[in-house]
Amino acid sequence: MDKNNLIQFFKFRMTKFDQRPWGCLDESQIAAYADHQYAGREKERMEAHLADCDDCLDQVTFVVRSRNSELQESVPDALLLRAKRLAKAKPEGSTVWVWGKIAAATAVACLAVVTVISLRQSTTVTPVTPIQNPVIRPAQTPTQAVPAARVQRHPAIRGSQKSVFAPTVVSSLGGNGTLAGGIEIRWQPVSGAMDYEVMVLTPEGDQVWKKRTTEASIQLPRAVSLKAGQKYFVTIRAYLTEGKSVQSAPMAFTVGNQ
Amino acid sequence: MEESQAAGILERLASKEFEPAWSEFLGAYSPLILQTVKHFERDHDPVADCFLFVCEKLCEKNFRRLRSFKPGGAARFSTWLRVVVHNLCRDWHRQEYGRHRVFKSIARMETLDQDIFRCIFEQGLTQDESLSFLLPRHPQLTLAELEAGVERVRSALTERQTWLAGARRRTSLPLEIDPEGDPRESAPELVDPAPSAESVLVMNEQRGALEQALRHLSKPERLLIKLRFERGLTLQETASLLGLKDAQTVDRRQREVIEKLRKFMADSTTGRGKT
Repeated sequence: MDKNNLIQFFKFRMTKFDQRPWGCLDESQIAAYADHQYAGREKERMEAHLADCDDCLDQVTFVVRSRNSELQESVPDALLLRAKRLAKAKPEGSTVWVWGKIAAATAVACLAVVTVISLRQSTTVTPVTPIQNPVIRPAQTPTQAVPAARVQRHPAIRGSQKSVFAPTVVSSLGGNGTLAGGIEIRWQPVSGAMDYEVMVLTPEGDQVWKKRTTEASIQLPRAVSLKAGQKYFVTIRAYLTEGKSVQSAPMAFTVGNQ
Repeated sequence: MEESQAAGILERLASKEFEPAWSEFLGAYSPLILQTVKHFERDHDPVADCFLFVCEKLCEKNFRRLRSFKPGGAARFSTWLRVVVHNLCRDWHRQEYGRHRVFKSIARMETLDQDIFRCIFEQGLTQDESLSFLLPRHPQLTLAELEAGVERVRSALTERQTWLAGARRRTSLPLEIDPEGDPRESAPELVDPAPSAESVLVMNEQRGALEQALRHLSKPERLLIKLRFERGLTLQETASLLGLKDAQTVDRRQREVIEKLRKFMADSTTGRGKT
């Protein structure tokens, strides 16, 4: 048993960062520990926690290692500009709080009124229908939409809250049964979007094709060869004016035999 | 100087001058943010997205996060900011690739198949590596059974889930580990050497015993071993973090702990032999 055995042991040991045990250190404590600000029993208590908490240990070691390496890269100007714009048009704190309080008070008042009315009238409450997700309209194609490219909806990325729009893949057949108009990708325009980046990926995540456009649809060039019978994914990222971006839900499609 | 500058920026972020203060903050700390982001992502687009996500979160609710820092407290601002940005990057990563949960289709499968999923699809181990890793838990496992298990798992996963498992793996960057001490002087991205078949075999025999032995160490001893061999800190970094005198002290203590582990493992093997 030597050092290499230990390295191999820890390499194959799978750490889990999503499960934070009780009593984890907060960001200030992690930083203060990394800055050698603790001593005596407090330091011992921290180290006892770090010995068994992968999550906190990960943060501490990251700080130690990253601050020892020099900050070589400056941020590209375009990116920095977008970051600077994030602070613009932010309402002042006091205004936010005032409006927040007003909104809360209004909500409470409305709730009280509704409760009183419902109690007085003793009417049966009809169940509220949850708002349905918007249904993607079938693509309106100038030519006949055909199943040469079979289109499937695909669930959004787990945990993601960014998927606010979804692409549609449309293809059209010519008279001889071949892909006449090629494959077109369409999506609902996103409000405030400056442009869109369209990506076609394999199920393994390898990029097949990528292009930016200001339109809400794009034609896949004929030069892009997609294998018949293979599944592909389309994702679209909309770049917004305020420096943010939103990504579509991924849409799977399969190219049928031509 | 750095602390007073940070305190000044934070004060102005809470005032009507928040815009120039935010610009000043970015001027001073955006390289630090970018460096942290690049720990998680290397490709251009994800780096830019993650950077903007972090900045957006720092701006949120009138810079609530930044203003929660207490100037004059125990931690330096730059150290604290690194921790905050590190955690925001993790949030971004979870948002982008999903929280690390076992897919339902996998959770319904046998333990062996779940382990195969973790090895092959999540960790990206080869079949040989996976077999070596799984043998202690599944002693009867053969390569043919492993291959059959891989097929079972593959058929249970959607393409999207396969892609997600791979995407999670691709975004976790390798640790630099060198048991002798100073890995980063020679290479910026040193991946630990692949184990030989023999060492993997030996490792398998020792794994269970080592797991137990580690549990019997005291917490300071376990922390030392983890910092060195799991996290890959150098002797000097470990000495500095744990408040030990110098690298030699760490080295000596580390050898003592390894000896203790070795002894415990030998004792447990002997104990098993006697019973």
